[in-house]
Amino acid sequence: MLLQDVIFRLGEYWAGEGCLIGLPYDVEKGAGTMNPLTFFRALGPEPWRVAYVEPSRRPADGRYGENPNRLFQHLQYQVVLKPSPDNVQDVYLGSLERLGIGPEHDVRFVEDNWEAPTLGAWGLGWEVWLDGMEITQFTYFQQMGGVELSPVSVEITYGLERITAYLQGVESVFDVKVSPDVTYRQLYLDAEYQQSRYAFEVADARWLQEAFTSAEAEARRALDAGLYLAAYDLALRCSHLFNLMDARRAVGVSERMGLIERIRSLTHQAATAHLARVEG
Amino acid sequence: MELLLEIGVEELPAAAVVPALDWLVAATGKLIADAGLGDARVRGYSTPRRLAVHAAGFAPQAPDRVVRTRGPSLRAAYDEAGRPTAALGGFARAQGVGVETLVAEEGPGGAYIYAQRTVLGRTAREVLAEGLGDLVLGVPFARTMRWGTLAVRYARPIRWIVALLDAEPVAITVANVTSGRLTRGRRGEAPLVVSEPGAYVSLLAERGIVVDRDERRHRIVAQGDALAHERALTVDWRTETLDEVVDLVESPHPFLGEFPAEALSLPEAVLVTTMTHHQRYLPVRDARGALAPFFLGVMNHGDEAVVRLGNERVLRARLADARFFYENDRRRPLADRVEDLAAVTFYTGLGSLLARARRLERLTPRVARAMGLTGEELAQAARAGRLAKADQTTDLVRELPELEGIVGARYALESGESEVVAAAIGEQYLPRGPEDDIPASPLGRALAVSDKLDALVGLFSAGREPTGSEDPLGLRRAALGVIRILMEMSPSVAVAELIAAAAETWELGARSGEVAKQVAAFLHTRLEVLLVQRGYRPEVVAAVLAAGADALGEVKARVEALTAFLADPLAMDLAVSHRRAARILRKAPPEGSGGRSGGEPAELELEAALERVEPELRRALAQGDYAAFFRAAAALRAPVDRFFDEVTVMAEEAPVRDFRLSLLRRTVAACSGVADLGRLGGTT
Repeated sequence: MLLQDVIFRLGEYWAGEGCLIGLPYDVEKGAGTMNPLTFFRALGPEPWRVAYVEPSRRPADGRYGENPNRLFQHLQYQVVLKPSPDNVQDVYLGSLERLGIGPEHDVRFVEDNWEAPTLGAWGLGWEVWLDGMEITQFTYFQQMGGVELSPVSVEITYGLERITAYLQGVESVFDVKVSPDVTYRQLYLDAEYQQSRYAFEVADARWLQEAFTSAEAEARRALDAGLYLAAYDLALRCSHLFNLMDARRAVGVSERMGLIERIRSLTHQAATAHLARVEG
Repeated sequence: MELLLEIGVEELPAAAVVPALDWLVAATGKLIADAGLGDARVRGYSTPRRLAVHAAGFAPQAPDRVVRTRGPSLRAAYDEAGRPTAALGGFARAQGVGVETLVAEEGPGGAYIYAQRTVLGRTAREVLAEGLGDLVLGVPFARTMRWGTLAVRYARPIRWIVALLDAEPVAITVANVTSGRLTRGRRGEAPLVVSEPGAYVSLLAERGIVVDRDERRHRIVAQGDALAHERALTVDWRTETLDEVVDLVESPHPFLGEFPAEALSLPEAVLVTTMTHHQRYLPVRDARGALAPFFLGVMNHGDEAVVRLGNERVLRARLADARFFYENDRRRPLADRVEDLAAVTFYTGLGSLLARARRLERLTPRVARAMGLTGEELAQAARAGRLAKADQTTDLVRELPELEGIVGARYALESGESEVVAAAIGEQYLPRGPEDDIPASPLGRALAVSDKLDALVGLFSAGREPTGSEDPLGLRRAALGVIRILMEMSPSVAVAELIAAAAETWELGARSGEVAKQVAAFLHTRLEVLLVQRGYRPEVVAAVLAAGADALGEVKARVEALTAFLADPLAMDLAVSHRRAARILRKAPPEGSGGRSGGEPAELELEAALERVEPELRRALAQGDYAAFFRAAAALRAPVDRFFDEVTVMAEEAPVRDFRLSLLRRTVAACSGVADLGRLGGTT
């Protein structure tokens, strides 16, 4: 099954479960959770169902395209169901069946507690193992933006490259066929190499720090003007800059906590501003 | 009667299952017993998706009880004509009995009216219908969550409940789930009807689900051994991994997978950690004990051929990752990485790991010398200290943080460092827990002690001593490591000197004395806790520590000697005398000069005994022969007793008083070398 077919089938499946098929968000980010379709919609009382693909950048995971399984950027398929339905595990297993992963496989739910400190978010759940391989992060959100959630949303995040590599029987994600004519290698190898080199060797640590400080200040201005969505975009930028600094090893353990706290403060304020608006 | 309660949940964390089940078994027995239904035989069952208890042998109904209630006084109960008063009528109505059933009884407070009612014992059904809900929700979990729109908290969502009393359901509703007789088999299969509690285990067994945890473990081990045996291999049953695997499957099916033999050239720790921590496989070894290119996995569902191939593929990919990191790391000698540590912070406000490496470079030789190291071990101590943290910037440690030290040791060897340095780097974090071994090599022990003291002194200087039960920085563990290493291998080393050396390398200036004192006090407290945990009497440990404990390692020997001595009845007498002497001395004037005997025989006897015993005590202490110390001290007991019986210490004549007080001072001093015996004297 082609990678684009996996995306199509998951889209069809989740649309059938009442999900809006959303779009990736155009700010660099480390995970689909950071898309406003998840971050803001998990807050407040309104029911919500959404599914979308999210390219997610993790600079420290970059391996110059030399490692068959590690990527600077990977594709997440993100599903959020709010409130979490009672049969959510079965519904999820139904999505795997749609991809041709049936009862001949060993699918297991292994404890994994998820946390995104810059988002002030955490939840309990599992990593889902397909024959020993982690293919999905499955989380009942308990907090988002530092706010206790009720109702609780469940987040299902599929790792698209891994699942597709498994379905295609290839050992390297770069051998994955995205379309009949194009491989993952053709699409992303250059980007993997260049982005890894940039993150690990070239990025200017001082510029990253300055950019972080300036984006943070701008986010505060936007918050002061009541424009929390604009502020949130800037907080995401801070988060990505922080990840770049981290990959460049330009952050000490002590500074690390401080920088995370600064981003968390922005996302927390954006969350409370949003709640104030929707609960008006 | 027989009860079955099954709580169906989404997959519980493996570590949560056993404590939850233990609680549930005990609480079920207690619920039944407290209701007066007798002692039930309770058994617990579990899989990742269910916690269940089966209880049998309890009564269908609690016995009836007679309840007596006191009413008005006899005088107020009847009027002059002998007719019931309004007060009596009201009492009878309130009790729901007729006036004619009331009785009058004489008691210490006069005659009163009593009502007697028989309260019917509650049935098991009533008790369970009322109590099972709390039982379900009462299970304690380390971490809980909410789900859907509910306010209930549990380890994971509750999805079904089976509650049967004999063949009939007991209806309870918990977290929006109403109980019944429907359980679930494997995922994707139709629900199963439990006809009666006794049918539960076999019903699920027919579906391939083994609800008895011990049975599941047994099967995994038996089948795993058989699979390995076919290839003349053995499974390396690591308890921690096996325990976890047992709680990750409900239909265990072990299988033997393979990985490419080239991967065996990776450090063994990398292979084992990848298999156990990351994949929950058990390593497999050949006849010589070396790792074989196989692993034992335990699957839960599916077609073995498909599942095995998938698992092999995952392990291959993980080992390829590890290979990538390993080859990458080896491009540079380990020593070149030390300067990179400047970019890694040790702890907020406490500088970088480079500063730490430089301190360890200075501290380790001093600790090594104090611990009696010589020759190459001593000569290499600075090198070991300098390189200790160099592996922190490697990809492999970043990927597998639990292998810090072990990775450094391997890279040290490959970079041409000496074997003693490599061994020490590999052992610096030992012991990692109370059951863990201490470092095997002398330099490893010196480095481990240096590493821990450096952290203790630094973090104490930053005010990060642990509070309450929290110890996020592992300082208690570090203190315990220092104590165990010194106790087992270098008993006579004065820990204060080592702490002072660590404080010096931290360059704490004027604060160094105060911080050193705090660290020493912390070590003493941890030592006290450790010895009490090991079964020594708290007052014995306290008595020994009160006599001073600079050589931490000797404390245990002293505690052991004192414990043995206390088996002798003489010992308590001596302790009592010691206390008496100490009490008198507390009130006594400061030591006078000179003094002379009052001529009492008891005085002279004690003096003579002291003259005889004091050198023996000194010798015993110098040799660390604490048993001999107590044997010698015991000789003082009779003279001291006689002294107290026959002599008035506070004599009127000052010189005589001074002489007698000086005898007591010598007695107390003589007995205090190993322990402050006065603390053992009880309250007399």
